[in-house]
This record gives sequence, structure tokens and C-alpha cells, in this order.
Amino acid sequence: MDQGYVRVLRLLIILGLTLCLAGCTTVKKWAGFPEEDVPPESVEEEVVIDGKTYVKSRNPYYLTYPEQPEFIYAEKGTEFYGMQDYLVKALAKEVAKEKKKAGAAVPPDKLQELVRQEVERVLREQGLGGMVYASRVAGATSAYPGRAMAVIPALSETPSGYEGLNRTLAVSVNTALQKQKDLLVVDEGRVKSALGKVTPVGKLATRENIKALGDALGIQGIIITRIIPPEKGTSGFMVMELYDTFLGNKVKSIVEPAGEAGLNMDTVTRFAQRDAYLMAGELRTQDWFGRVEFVQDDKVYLNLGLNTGLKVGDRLKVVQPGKEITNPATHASLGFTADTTQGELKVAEIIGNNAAAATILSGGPFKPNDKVKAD
Amino acid sequence: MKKKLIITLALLSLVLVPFMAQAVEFKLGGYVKMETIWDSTNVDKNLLRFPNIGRNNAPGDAQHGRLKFTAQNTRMNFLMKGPEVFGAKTTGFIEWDFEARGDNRHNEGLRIRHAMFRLNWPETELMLGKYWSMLTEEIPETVNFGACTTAGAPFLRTPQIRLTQKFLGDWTVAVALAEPVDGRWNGDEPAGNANTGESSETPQVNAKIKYSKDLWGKGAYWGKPRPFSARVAFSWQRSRYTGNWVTAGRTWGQNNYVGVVARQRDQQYLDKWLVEGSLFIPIIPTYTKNLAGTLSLLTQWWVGQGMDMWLEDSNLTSTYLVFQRFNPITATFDYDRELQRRWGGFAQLTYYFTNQWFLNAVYGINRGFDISNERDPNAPGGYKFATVNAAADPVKMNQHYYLALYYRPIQALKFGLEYTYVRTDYFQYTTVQSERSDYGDNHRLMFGGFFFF
Repeated sequence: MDQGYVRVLRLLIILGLTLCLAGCTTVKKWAGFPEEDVPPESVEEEVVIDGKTYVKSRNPYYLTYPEQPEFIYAEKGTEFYGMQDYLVKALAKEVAKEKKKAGAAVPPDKLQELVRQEVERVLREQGLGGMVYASRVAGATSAYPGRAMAVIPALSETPSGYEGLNRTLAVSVNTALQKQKDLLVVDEGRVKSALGKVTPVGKLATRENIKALGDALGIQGIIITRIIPPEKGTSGFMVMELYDTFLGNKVKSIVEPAGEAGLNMDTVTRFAQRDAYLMAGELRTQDWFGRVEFVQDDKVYLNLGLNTGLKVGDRLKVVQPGKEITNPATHASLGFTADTTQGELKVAEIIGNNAAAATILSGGPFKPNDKVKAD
Repeated sequence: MKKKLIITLALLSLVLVPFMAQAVEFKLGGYVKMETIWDSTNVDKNLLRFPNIGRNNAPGDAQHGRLKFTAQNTRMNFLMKGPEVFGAKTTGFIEWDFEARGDNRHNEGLRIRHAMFRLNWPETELMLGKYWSMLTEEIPETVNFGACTTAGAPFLRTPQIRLTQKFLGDWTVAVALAEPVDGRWNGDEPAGNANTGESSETPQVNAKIKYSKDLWGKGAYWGKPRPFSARVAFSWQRSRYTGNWVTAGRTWGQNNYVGVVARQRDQQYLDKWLVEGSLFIPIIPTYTKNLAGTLSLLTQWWVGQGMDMWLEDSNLTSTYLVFQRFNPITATFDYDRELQRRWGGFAQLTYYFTNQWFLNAVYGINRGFDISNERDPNAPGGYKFATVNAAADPVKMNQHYYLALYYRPIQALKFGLEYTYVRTDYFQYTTVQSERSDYGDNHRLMFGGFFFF
């Protein structure tokens, strides 16, 4: 090849590598460039300038014209919503009309909630539950919507001959939950491996077993499925139980009779598809938390990443879960004491979907499986 | 009919629903645009389709006023934000319009404008599909659509594979391999149409580098504050032109064309290229999100050859023939083909009275250069140069002047009233009846209303 071409090619390769490296976040950090702050536009929803309020608005030119941002700021009242919001508003109008026809007036403050429920219902019916925004889920207690969970069939507690059905129920629930965009559902392989590691003592759903499985899988919730066979004239039951892995408590339980069709593949699949989202919704109402994976070089690595909504600069506290108070005489549980804060962290880097690195602001030393919560 | 519709919808839902279930976000958007246009002559709706403005001595039908109403420039799009993959956010975008039939008789047909998807890492973007060329990034905000209607603003949407990399915070570089703008799927160009390049064998290569930084505040650009930016972009493609090709052209170098039968003797590979640079300068800047009282300048200039590639020339006039010899064996006048060189650019001044009212003034120009009137006694009539087609009428210069007043009460609504003066100067005079002319011009008054959804 011509030496001139070789020289140009070499120059281009060096130039390309230099640009890629100059653009690489890790290299920039290593070279001592200051970390970029999150631009205020991405966090501020509303600002007041010269006495006028400006709000974040969708940019109608986004992608239609080149180099246009997705969001801009516009004077309040002039902002752009787009087709999706127009549809929701139209739906709200229709729902209000229908309710009026039925004689039930809709209070204005309830209207939005009704519309949300209607949209969710339609999306769920179409198998599009994943499009429902977690931030709009009623009762969500945290700014961080993302959760991780596992579905475990209680096989050792399932009567002989119904293990297959219970396994089908668990797989169906797992499949249905995977459509929820803000949920990470761990696969069967990891569940099996965790069960082998933890070796639950006694019943699967004891508080200790749930917490240990939660730590082993790095998840916030566990759904245990059960099948209760027909007896004494009943058609049998299908059961889903949701446990939070922070305290090991049962959060919700759904028991459904098999009905006339009896216990079969179709019945359990329908049950899973219909009710799995209720469990997911319930999990989102629980306190959000994560775990310390390991500590290295003054950095604390967490099992929380992009899918939780965590951002660089967020502050988290490391907590010791509260202790259960029981009546010594009756052994009845009276509840839990408040969590004890053991230190504070600041998120320094988001590592993909499921991990982040944080610097220690106070407290420590911390160890794997210490729990972290929003500050 | 109803049955067919139901079956179509069912099939569509089978395809779309699983995809939508994967999507994190799915949006339908676009805008409805109503245009009312009065022109002093019969010109093309988009103004810059070569030959641009006909001569003022053209037959009478073209030389009278004309009023048109159209909603043809309405557009719709799908935006899909998919799941993350390899640590990148994924986005898909499809946009279509109704300009497939350009006869302007309300006989609109669907046409894909953009169909692309991209993967975005924090500082890197990989884009695949049909989208704006990186040479068409700066678009004047005229009521008449800004990119393909303004002289001096190269215009192209093209299927491409593009890699964009940001570095050191304020710099961006991008390279793209794109579809060469010539050639057909089904063989060579037809025998009678050898004006355009035939099936290039190499891709169009595009590259750019851009610097953008808030140095002294921001100026208004398409309704948002934008910092100072400087940008240089480059494009190249090699087009192949058939050899041993005989055409009825016209000699070039005298007024009132004379027909000539010319033969392009050899197959030729010609390099089309374009270099452009642009600047965005906030003149009276804002330091907030309030655009009221701001004045900004956007300007872009370029030089290149074979500019039909960028809608800055016609495929009839972006090449011409240069006499070489009389061939006694074939008894033909033999020519070689050369690419027409042009330069051009535009400047746009935008002033915002308030966030709702603003004024936009644009001047755009493209001009041919490096044209010789050299003579050759052995050439037909002694004229060394010839056009590649009897209909070709090489354009010396196009100039566009726009002045638009906009009112945008909310982001979803925009109204604009615009005056445009367009003038085309030709290289040669022609005489029609007793009238001689080497230019044509047009006055346009236009009202446009946009509803974004």
C-alpha cells in the first residue's frame, strides 16, 4: 500500500482513539477532569424568571428537526404536552361523562385517579402493563420507582401431584411481572441457586428465610406461590403471597378459588396474568431499599443501578432494620422499632442497570448486605 | 372493505403489540400545517427545485399571480424508546409526510421522511437509518419549510450509519457512511437519462466537528436558548458516468443556445464534495430561559462541486461537457464531463420581542463559479462547452430573501406571515419573441399555521 495512505490511516486511527478516550467518562475521571454536574434543566421542573414561571415542556421539534433537545422550558400555560396527554385528557372527559350518566358525579380531585386507573386497566388488558409509569402508581413511597423481586413456588409444601401446577403458576407470575418496566424479576436459575445456598429451615415463609433469600438474591420482594388441592367440596385454591425482604414481613396475600373449571393450567395462568400486577403494585408501596454488595478502596458498591431511578449525587443512608417488639406473655407482635442510621453515602457512579458506587460521607465500616435507604 | 380493515388492524396489532410491550415509551406526534401562498409567478411550492425561477421572458402562462391553499406539509411520527441494551438507551423514530405526489393538486401520497433507530451511551451515539444528513443540521426557521426551500442551505435526508462522539464536554465529532445520492435499484439509468451518476460503487462519506459552549449567554434558535457554536462539516462521494454516451446538448458560451450532438467518450468517475462551516452567535444574549429581547445570528457557508447531491443544483446542470476532439471513426464530437462548482450560504437574524412574538430575516445564496468561456476552433460552432441535455439551462446564481413575523401563543400553536423575494440569474440570455432576459424573479406572500400534537 502507498506509504502516504498508510500514514493518513495511522493518523486517523490515532485521532479516533484519542477522541474516544477523551470522551470516555472513566478516562476523563482518571485524567483528573472534574465530574460533570447534572445539568439543572434535567432536575428543575419549574423556575421563576423576571416574575414569570417557566415549566419543563416537551419540545415539539424533537427529532423532527436535527439537534433538538427532547425538553425545553416554556412560560407556564404555554407548555407542550403531546398526543399522549391529549389522549389521557380526552379519556378523562369520557370517563367523567360515563360516570355522570351512571348518576355518580366524579369529584374533580378523584378524576385524575380514575383516568389513571382506566388507562392502567386498558394497558394491562392489552398486555402493556410495562408502559404504566411507576411514578404514577398510587401509594408509592419513594422517588425511586425501581424494584427487584423473585417468584418462588413453595414446592416442599405443595401436596404431591400438584408440584407441576405450582411451578406453572410461578412461571406465569414471573412472565407477567417481566412486562412491568420498573421491575427486575430474577430468573429461575438464580432462584434455584439461592435456595441451594440458603437452605431454608422449616417453612419457606419464615421471617429469617425470607430475609436470607432477599440477601442472597439482592431483591426487595418475594412472591411465594401455593396450590391448595380440592377438599370437602371446594374446587381448590391458588395462592400468591408477597413478602418484603427488609423485615421479612408478609405484605399481601391473594387466595383465589379455582371455580368450576377446577385446578388446571388455564386457571392458574389466568390467575397469574390477572393478579400479578397487584402484587407488583403492592411492592412499590413498600419502603425502597438496597444492599451493600462490597466495599473496596473507600468506595461502597451497591446493588442499585439505573433501573431504580438512582442518580449521581443522590444521598443514601445505611440503616440497621428496626427490631420486632413482642409481648413476652402472649408472644404477639406489637410492631417494629424505627431503623437505626449507621452512616451516610453519596452516589458517585451508576454502573449499568443494577449497580452503583458510592463514597462514604459518614459512619462505617460497612459490610455486604447492610441495607441502604433514601436519605 | 370493513373486513379488510379489521384484518389489517389485527395483523398490525400482532406486529405492534409485542414491540410496544417491550418499549419503555411510545409516542405518536407530528403537526398539522396549513399554508396559504400567493406568488407573483408560477413557481414550485418549495421554491428551490431546479430550474428555480423561470426567466421573466418565459411564455405568458408562467408570468401571472397565483394563489394556493394546501395542508400537504402536515407530518406525523412515531417515537419509541426501547429497553436498554449494552448500557445504551435505544430510540426508534419514524416520520412521514404527504408529499409523495408533488403535483400540488391535493392528491397527496404518503412518504417516509425519517426511519431510524439509535443507541445512546453517555457520550457516544450510534444511529442507523434514514435521517437528516449531518450537512443539513442548520435549518433556517422560515414559514415555508426552511431546509429545502432556502438557497444556500444544503438539504438531504439519507439512509446512513452514523457514529457521534462527544469529547472534553464541548466538542462533538461524527462520521457517517451514507447512501450515495445516485443510481437505481433496477440497473443503470435509462439510456435517455444519463445526466445523473450511475450506481456509485462507494458510499457517501460525511464527517463533522462541532464546538458548542455557553461563552456569553445564549440566543434564540427554534424556540429555545442556544449557546455559541461553530461547526465544520465535509462530504464526499464518487459518481460513475457512462462512457460512449451520445446526447443532444446545447453549446455553452454564447447567448441563445445552439443544439449540438455530443458524445461523452469514456466512462468517468467524478468526485462530488462539499465543505461547509457554520456559526451560531448570540448577539443580544439571555442568561435564563426567557427569550424576550434576544437577537441571534445563524450563518453557514459552503463550497463544493456536483451540488445536485445537496439540492443546490439540478442534475441537468451539475455537470457539463468539455470538447476534446472530433472522432473520425465514430464521426462524433467527443467530450469529457466535468462537475459544476458552486459556493453558497445563508445568514439568519432572529429577534424575539416576547416569548410569543418574534421576527426572522434570512438571506440565502448559491452561485456557480470557475466557469470558462474559452473557445476551441475545432468544437461545434467554436464553443468548447456544452450542456448534457437540451433542457439544461445552467443557473449562475439563486438568491432568496425572507422576512417572517411569528406568533406562537403556546408551544403547540405557531402562526407565521412571511414575505419572500426569490431571484434566479442564468449564465446565458435567451430571446423569446422580442424579449431578452437572463433572470427570473418571484414575490411570495405566505401565511402558515402549525398545530403540533
